[in-house]
Amino acid sequence: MTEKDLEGMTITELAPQIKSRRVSPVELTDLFLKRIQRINPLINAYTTVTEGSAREQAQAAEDEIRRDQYRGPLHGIPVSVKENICIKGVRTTAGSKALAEWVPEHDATIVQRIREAGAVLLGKTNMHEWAAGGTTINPFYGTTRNPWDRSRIAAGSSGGSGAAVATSLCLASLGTDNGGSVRNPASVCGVVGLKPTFGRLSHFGGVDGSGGYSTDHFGILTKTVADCGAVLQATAGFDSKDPRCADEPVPDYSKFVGPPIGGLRIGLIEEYFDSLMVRDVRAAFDNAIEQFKKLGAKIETVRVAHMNLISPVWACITRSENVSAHVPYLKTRPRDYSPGLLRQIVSSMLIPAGTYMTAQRVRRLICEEFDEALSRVDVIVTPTSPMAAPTIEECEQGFVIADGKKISLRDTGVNFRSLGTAPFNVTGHPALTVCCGFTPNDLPIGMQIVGGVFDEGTVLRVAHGYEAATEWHRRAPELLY
Amino acid sequence: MKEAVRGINEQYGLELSEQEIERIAQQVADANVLFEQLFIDGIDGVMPLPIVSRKQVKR
Repeated sequence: MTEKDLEGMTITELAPQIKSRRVSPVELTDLFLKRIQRINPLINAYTTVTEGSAREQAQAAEDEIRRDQYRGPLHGIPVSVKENICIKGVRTTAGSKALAEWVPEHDATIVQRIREAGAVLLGKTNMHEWAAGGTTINPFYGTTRNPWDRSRIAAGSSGGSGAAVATSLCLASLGTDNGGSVRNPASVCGVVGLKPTFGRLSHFGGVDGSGGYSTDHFGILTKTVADCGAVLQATAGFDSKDPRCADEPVPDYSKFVGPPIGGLRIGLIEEYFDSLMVRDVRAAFDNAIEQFKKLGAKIETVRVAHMNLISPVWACITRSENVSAHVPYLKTRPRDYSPGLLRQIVSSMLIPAGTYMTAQRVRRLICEEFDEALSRVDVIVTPTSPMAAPTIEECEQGFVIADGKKISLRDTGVNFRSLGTAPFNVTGHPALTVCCGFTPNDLPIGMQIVGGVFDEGTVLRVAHGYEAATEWHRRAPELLY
Repeated sequence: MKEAVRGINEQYGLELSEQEIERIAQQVADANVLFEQLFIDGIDGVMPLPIVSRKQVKR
């Protein structure tokens, strides 16, 4: 096997080869490490590469497999972990200056679980400072660049994870999603990104202060839907260390990857998203809906009456909840924040408690409306982001011109680019992005599939049905060649 | 609003400049305008959503 062979490889394809010893985890890890050394300087996806421990883990996997102790589809598979998820003994900064030297003494539960599944941890991926934005233009650890066009952002806050998966610098990455921070990078990098139901994945070992207590979720980025199901299988389930984690049964997700989707009901929320999408995204999304029709799915319109209040509900709740974790840093090292984030944190301290509670009341209405909508359809489908990746320059100037209109990228509430994803951080429904096309200048466009609470299986089924009928996931950025 | 920001500035020793205080006060004012939308008719009678409340919805 050569480094070039890694391009296009998936967990699902590699796992049987590892199991049958045709592929060596040691050699595979070595190839990924070489590839990171060559490509990471171009895109800045990784902040820390744990070469030594990765080689040890790969050797351990190889020894076990040689002894017929194969653990499952992640055994010997190289993965990465976002900078705000703890790995024991590895610097975990949350993209901040304040935690630049912090080395946790424990694994996050999902890290522990992915280790137990036999995965090889390659290192930590770059992110937006404290996950408080969606560009991964990080003043302390550099900007992660979009592998499809390096003048553009890889989005965020899990930008390093999206770029790493898209460029085959790992086969899966664990990220966090407080308003779209898994789904947006996955979307603009052309890969799969899943934010499961709130409580499906343990949040133990996430860095406090990088998301709201009730809006932040751990999530998964992979090249394909089947790979995503495999990682979810290994990481989902109750964890007594996290009071937010749900004691819901975890089904066999592999059974959802493959069945046809004919007859399934797909809901569209037309009013809200119609006004958001720029032309290229609209065209790709419309084509995807036509594809669903060809596959035999039934398209219906659903109504969520209070969609217009998503932005204030999300902004009020996530900022109020997040700010308390910053008090110790504000007291001791306030100048370790970038000026913009310091302003946001101080302003968040002035949100009245009554406003927060009112936001939680409106949130209940919105959740009930989505539950009602999802009782009439199997999934809801939306564009993931209303636009493809903007340039780094556009993000820094704070606006983009699209379809002849000036669109602000510095909104007071939800950022324009997260208006498609943040609703499901408010409601907690599972939401997955899958590539549904490209702009004329070859930038990926994502489609979001949203399911009922704890029904990740149907989300995976619909996403896989679409993916299998299209070729988008087979494209790779030219950077690789 | 500037006085509230000044209070936080003093309490936490942030050493914000007057210009920074003004910008933060403006952000707070902008956010308050956004949050005013939340106070819709009848909302007082709705139970706030506790953090862990999601349960599988049976279809």
